[in-house]
Amino acid sequence: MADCSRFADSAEDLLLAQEQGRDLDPDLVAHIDSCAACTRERDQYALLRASLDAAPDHHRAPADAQARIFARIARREEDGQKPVFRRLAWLSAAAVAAAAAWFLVAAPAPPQSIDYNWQISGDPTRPPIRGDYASPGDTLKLRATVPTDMPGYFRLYRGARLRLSCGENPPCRRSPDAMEIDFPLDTRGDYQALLFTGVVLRFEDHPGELQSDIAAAEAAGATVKLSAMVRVR
Amino acid sequence: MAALDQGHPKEALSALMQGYGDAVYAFCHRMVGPALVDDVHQLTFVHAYESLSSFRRESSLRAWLFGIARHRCLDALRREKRRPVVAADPDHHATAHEPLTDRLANRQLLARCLGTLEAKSREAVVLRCEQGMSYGEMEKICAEKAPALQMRVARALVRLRKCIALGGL
Repeated sequence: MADCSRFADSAEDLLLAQEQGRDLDPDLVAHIDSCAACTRERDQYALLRASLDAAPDHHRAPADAQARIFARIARREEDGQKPVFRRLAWLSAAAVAAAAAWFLVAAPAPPQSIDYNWQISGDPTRPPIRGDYASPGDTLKLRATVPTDMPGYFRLYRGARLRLSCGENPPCRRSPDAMEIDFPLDTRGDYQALLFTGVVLRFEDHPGELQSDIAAAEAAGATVKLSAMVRVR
Repeated sequence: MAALDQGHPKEALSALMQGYGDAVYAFCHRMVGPALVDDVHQLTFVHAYESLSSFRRESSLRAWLFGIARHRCLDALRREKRRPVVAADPDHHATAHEPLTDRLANRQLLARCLGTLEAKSREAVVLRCEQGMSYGEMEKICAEKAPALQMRVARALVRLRKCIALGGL
């Protein structure tokens, strides 16, 4: 019985049953209770769980964490109140873009470099940028400088679930050195856009969930750029 | 949330920090390691403050806050493109001679082995086993279904035990 590996062999299933709150096979339970090797293995997992359970107590926030957070908030609020400079920048941009809705501020990129911009465009009578917030009806405009010979893909997610994906074809627009897309934000939710570049991707291998797609693309050797979270409220 | 209802967001944030500050810090520490934890922890509460008015009470405050922390951690990991760096373990060589039961209780070894897990496995096991989250809360935080999370926790525990048995190698 000392060499018994029944628990070890099926540890994953047993732990899964435990996580799911399922009863174990009574025969297996009886075996584990009577088998020294299985009992030891079971007890080791119990000890591991106990160690994890006690672990958070060992990492506490620094005593000055609250003060630092409030200082950081104050700095951000201060930055957000640089009214003249920021509004002038917007007004001049609005004047230039009056007929064409919205232009993105994208610096010319050196060869092979990727420049990625995202912006929200909405009602021209009100400021288009409110942090990372948008309203239903706004448009999320994505633009990237991608060299002609480099594969590139935009993928847009709401609540971490894929909503849209394109590369060479509409609704993506590809010009010699750039790719663009306008995505209407019709539904409330948290949106994030990804830009994949560098390699041709097989999207059937991508499950359509933000983190999994990033992992799959990175594993395939793609360069991944992520936009800020845009919250449509 | 009473402070928020009364239009006092800074008081609401202060209450949030008192209630969950340490737990969020512990979670972030596990996810990003000691070098980034302070920044990520601060950013979590800064974003929480800026998003307080959009909290729609569809989830618990804790799940909402940990959801923000998780995003900040993953953003930081993506920026750094690395796994958390665990502090050097002065007893590393000694652990090889410890009985397994002692190794399982060795915090440094546990930290190192947690650091070897992929971020999604690490977050699942930390949320479930360290933070004591229900799978309902974890679904909200991780935007994934409970069966996938349960499977991830079970697999992560097996890998953790194996890593610890090998002395963190």
